[in-house]
Amino acid sequence: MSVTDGMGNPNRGYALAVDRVRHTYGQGQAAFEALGEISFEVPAGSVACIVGESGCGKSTLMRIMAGLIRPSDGTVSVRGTPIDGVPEDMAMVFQDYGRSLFPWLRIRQNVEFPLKHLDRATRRARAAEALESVGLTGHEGKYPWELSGGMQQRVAIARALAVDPRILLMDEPFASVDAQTRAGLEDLLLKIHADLGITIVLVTHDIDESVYLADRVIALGTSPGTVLEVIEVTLERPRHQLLTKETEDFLKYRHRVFELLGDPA
Amino acid sequence: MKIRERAITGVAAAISIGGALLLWQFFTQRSESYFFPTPSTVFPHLWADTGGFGEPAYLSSSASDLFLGDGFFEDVVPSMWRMLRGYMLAVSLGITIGTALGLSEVARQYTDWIINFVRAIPPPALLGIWIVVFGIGDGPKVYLIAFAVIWPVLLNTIDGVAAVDEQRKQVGAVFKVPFHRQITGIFLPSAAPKIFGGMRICVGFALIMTIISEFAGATNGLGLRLQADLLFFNYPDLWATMVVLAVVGLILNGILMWVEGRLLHWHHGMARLAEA
Repeated sequence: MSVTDGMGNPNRGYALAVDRVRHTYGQGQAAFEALGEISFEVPAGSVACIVGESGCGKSTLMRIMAGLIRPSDGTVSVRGTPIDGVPEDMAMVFQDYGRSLFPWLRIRQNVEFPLKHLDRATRRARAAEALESVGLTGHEGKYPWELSGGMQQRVAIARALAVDPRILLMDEPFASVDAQTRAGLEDLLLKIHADLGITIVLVTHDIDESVYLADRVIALGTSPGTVLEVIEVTLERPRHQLLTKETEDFLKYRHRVFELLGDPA
Repeated sequence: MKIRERAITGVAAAISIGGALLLWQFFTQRSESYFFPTPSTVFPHLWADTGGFGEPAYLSSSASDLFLGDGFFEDVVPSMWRMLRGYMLAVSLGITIGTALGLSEVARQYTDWIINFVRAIPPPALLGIWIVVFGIGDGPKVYLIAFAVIWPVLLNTIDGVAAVDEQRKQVGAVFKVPFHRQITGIFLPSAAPKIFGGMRICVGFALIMTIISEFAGATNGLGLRLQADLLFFNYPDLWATMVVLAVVGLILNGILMWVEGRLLHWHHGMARLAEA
């Protein structure tokens, strides 16, 4: 099913609404259509996973939602208001922690980096709180490159949480860590979601991950990126790496997404 | 372990310096040429003008003067002061202009050929014109040093700022970091290893240009002294001045390495970790 507001009216029940967004890079002969017509909505407080193979324009879509690039056509609305630039109370976790964290700053300074407009005591408190929520209390004085990959990505999550966002965008956040660490980070994310009730939009190419995390899976097809289907995932929360993934429903959702995306060979 | 490594480095340095001095002594003693005095003539000259021309000595035996002689205050200090001002002017201009150009691809396209054209002029060639245009005071010398020295800092800053990772820039945008803080907090630290690379090359250039700028229209400084030595055949003083220059160069490089070690310890720490 595809949820589209055909009138182009902002739909106030949604934290984020993507309405007939198209994006083309370049012009004329060299033009490359990255995104066809994309429309979907993300209900407030839910987890939406955008899943697709590489080349389906996931990253472009993510950057459009973050207000970093303006789409060639269509609008992105946050709580009913079309965005122009980076929306308020939105934060982002990037794929490559090695590049998104600043190697010249210690962990605490990295987390405090977006908070420089606040006074020192508030900054400290917010950073401490954010680091605690990702289980990194005690590592404040280290440099990112002194930590493991999984820990670094937790720092990146803490930095995003420190700004107290209502919407958290995540661009393939767990793609650069090993499977075991990945499962741990997924569960950490679900715990943060349960605790804070924020809206999370996560881009991934991992079908299992998308179903495991999401309330709503948005399956994208390639060249150009289009929404193949929006799947409501009604798996019970809290979810469990083994138990949830062994349920019939999980396998059913997984099967469906696999079918949609085609043979990934 | 670290102490041991340092000891080994120290011993190796002592051996190579001692060896070089011995070779110097060995060859100059055999030649007996006035133009190539032995180190046993040159080094005492640091304390007193053995050439008999009354050049002030660089060192003294008085502890109250910190063992520094009149020559140090009359020639080394003015030279260093000119060099420092020229160097700092070049570094601050180079980083400022380099950052602006690094941020704007359009500005780079327009200025690229000008920079390469002006940079291709050997600064010593400008010395004559420089004096006509700017006169012979201290200011023109400082500007000439800065002109000669600015290029490595400028080009490395442009490169470093232009090459800042897209994702790092997006971090600044997503977290709504004000533009000036993106410069100081993201672009400059990202480019710092490259900028320091340029600054290190510049120390040597600055010393060379300081000497050359003092070849014409100077009333003091090591460059003037070298010229006077040549003119009056004061070869012991010429060699002593070269020893002083070498030591000065070593010290300046050491200071910059120390500063770099402090500011870029994160960079070196990452590199060490990547090797391990």
